[in-house]
Amino acid sequence: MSAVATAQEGASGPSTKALLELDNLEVLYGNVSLALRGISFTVPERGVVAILGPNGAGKTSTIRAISGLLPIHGGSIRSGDILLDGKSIRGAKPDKLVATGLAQVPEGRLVFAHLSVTDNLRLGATQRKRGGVGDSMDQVFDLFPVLKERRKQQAGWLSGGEQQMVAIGRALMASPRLLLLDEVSLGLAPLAIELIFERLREVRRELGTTMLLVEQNARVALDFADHGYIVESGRVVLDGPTSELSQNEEVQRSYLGGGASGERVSYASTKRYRRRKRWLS
Amino acid sequence: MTAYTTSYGQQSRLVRTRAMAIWVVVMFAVLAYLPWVVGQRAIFGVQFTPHWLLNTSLTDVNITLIFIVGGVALNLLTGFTGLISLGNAAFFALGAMVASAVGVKWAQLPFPLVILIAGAAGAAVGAIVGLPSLRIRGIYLLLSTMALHFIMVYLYTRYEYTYFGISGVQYTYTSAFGLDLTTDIRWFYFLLILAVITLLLMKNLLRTRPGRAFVAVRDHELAAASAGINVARARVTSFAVSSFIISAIGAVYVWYLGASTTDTFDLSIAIAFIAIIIIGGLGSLAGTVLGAIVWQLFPPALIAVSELAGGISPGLQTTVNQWQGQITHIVFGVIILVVLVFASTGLAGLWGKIKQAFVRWPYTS
Amino acid sequence: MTKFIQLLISGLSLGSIYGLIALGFVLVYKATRVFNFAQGDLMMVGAFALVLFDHSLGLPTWLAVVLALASAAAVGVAFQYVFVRPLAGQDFLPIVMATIGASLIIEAIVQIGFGVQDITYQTSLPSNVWTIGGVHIASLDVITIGIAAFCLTVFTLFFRFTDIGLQMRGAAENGEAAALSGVNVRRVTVVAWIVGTLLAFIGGLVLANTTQVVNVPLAGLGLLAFPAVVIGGLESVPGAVLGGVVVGVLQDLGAGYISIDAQTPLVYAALLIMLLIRPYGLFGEKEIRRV
Repeated sequence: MSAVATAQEGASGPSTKALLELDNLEVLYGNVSLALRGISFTVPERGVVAILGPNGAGKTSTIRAISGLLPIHGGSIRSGDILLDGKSIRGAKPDKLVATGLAQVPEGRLVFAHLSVTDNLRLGATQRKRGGVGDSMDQVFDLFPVLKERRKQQAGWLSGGEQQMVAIGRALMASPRLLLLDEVSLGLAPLAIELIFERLREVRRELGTTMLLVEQNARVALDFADHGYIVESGRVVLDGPTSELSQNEEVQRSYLGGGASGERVSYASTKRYRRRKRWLS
Repeated sequence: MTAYTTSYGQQSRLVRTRAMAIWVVVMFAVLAYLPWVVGQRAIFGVQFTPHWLLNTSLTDVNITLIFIVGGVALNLLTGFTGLISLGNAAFFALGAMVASAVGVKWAQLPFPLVILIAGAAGAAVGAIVGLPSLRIRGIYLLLSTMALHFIMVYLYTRYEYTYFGISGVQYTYTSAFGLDLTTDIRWFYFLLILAVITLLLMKNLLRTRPGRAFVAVRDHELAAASAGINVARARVTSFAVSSFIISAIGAVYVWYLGASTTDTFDLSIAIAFIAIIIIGGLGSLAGTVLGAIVWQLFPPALIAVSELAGGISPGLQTTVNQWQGQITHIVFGVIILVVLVFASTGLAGLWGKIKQAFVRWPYTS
Repeated sequence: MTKFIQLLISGLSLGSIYGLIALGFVLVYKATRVFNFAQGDLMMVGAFALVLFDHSLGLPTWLAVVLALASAAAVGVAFQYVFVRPLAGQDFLPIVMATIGASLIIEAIVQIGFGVQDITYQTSLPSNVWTIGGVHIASLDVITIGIAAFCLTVFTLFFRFTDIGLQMRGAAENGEAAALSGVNVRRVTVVAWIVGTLLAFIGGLVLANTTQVVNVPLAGLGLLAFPAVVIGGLESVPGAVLGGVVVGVLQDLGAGYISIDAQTPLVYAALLIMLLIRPYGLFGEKEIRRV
């Protein structure tokens, strides 16, 4: 179903081997509400995949299912499987998953407000074996110099953008192979968003980390990722290389605010259009 | 027709359907005849053993009524306004002191007036306590009410030592509206009327704007303030009303007992009230009634059960009798835990679910 | 003046015991956000554990002490499993109520097991009294203060500087964030309860040796640990012990200069004053909340 971008292959680009694979995943909340109705996609090693879609589509549920945080929110996997490196991680505990190289930057940042920035970062390294923690912290400070300035401050006093850096830095401290980014742009000023994504590009260049990002900001996401999946009401309705997706007419109408010839289309007319043309029955 | 209301007029009535009206009449008939049943252990002349009534006496019933009133007042504060308080015993003590002062020691005002004055004193103190509740939250509020408890009980002890003797504060004056309150039966009707009035007042308060303000402040303070509710005023009012009732019924309580000492106002009384409203269901008036009944009538019921079991195994009976208090505590501790873990709406919520199942049958999920 | 110093010293000793209770209490609170109303009951169980191993089973005192402290782990795990875990995620009122229910149950069980009379405990610690300038200093008091100071140091360092201490603080701050950072929240919670119970037991053992009377009302001392915690700061480990000392001193001064009854209300009045002027305690921090 999904076609991996074949244009860039080689040492610095995404490989053909899938690091993460979701196979017909169904996620249930509280035994009544089906949030994901059979989602499948793959994230190739060293690749960046974006999941897009409107509110309530099931994007965060996908991330929670992967990182093992569903039970905290009253959810469970009803059927389907999640494979990391070919091995099933369905039902695995969150702390074990971090040990196997998975780290999450959660929606809403969730920094430890009363702890210092340094302590926040140290906690990210909980599952690391002894050595290298100091080096990782230096790396994070290189990436986000403003955190180094504020490293003794309590994280709760930082601005939204700085807290997002703390959250990303904390995830990077785990030396992850796969980085899950949940709505990283939410609530941030446009300049902050630009800065964050520029740094994420740097992470990708320097460390080759595989990334899966969930975004409502379609423009930024399509710009950043190699491959995209559009999720609506718990199902994947469209996917493809991001270069193609940004040219797709439906995508432009529904998510990029543009019409066929690139002019701005009002949301009201888009809604009418969508009601007439349905991708799902 | 009997399950759902069909008009606004019907919705806003206290007794909504014909079925409810019949139940209310039956209930009052039963209550009116109750003291004779309990006192003489006979229904219309048919005698039966104490065990059928689980060993309760009219004294137990009267104390239950008092605890219902106190519990309902605490539920207003904690269940409906979300302000947790261990101050019940403190306000009992305050009510006792004031009542003793104006009813026995320096004046012998009529009993109903004494009750009202005790209540007013409670309301004043309650309002003062309510003021800091704006800045002090959750656990700190709980500790503040504990502080109130210890300070108030200390004042009471001083009062008792200074003006009375070792036998405690005495209350000898017992008559209301010309009727001498000398027997348990007369006390029963008096207390029953008080309880019914309190419940009706509560129900109406909660149906009107101040009552809804309380609940709004409990649920989401910021949203309530944005909706134009004066959060400070709601909280202070809740404290004042609740403390009024508790102090007033505290005065009644000590008058019924006849005398009071420091032990009458132990912290365990305040804890008992919290247990009552939790077991009955926070935010439910009917639940408080159930909770108070269970709380007060369990110990004699335990003895009755152990006597019945004594027929099978006398050893068991002596053990249960010896550790009666401890067993009661363990059972209540367990009930509290079970309610907290499984049925956070308490007995009333449980009853509500059963009723709903009946109403919706066979469409129960 | 000698009276004042005398009361000060006995207050310090009493305060050390409060400090131990408060220390265990604050550690549990910092790590799990649970306000354990039954901390005093845990201390009482510790004292009874000593009686069990020393008197009832007749073991040598040193072995009794070791076993009593070891049993703290079992009691702590059991307590957390029965009374706290089932209420995970609920508001603080149900959790406090559950611990109140726990205290009812624990006290009743201990009474059924050991009877309602007081049990005298013969201490094997040195119990001399030195007199310096008219002031009597008991060796037991010195030992008590020493133990409290030791525990304070060890556990402050533990909480501030070890990895698991940091994990506890993170887990208490935000359980979900801790989990996704790789913290095993359940294990950290259990460790916190074991440490908290251990401290309560240490307090109970010290109390058994100093007052030499063991009975259920000992648990009531726990009620005075709450003002200690508030005065010191609910989130501060050294603050807890300091608050305990303040409470102990206040209590003895109150008993000496006013009356025995005035002890508890005086301490709680101090709590009220502290809440009005500095709610987060002498050592606590302001709360950070984004609206």
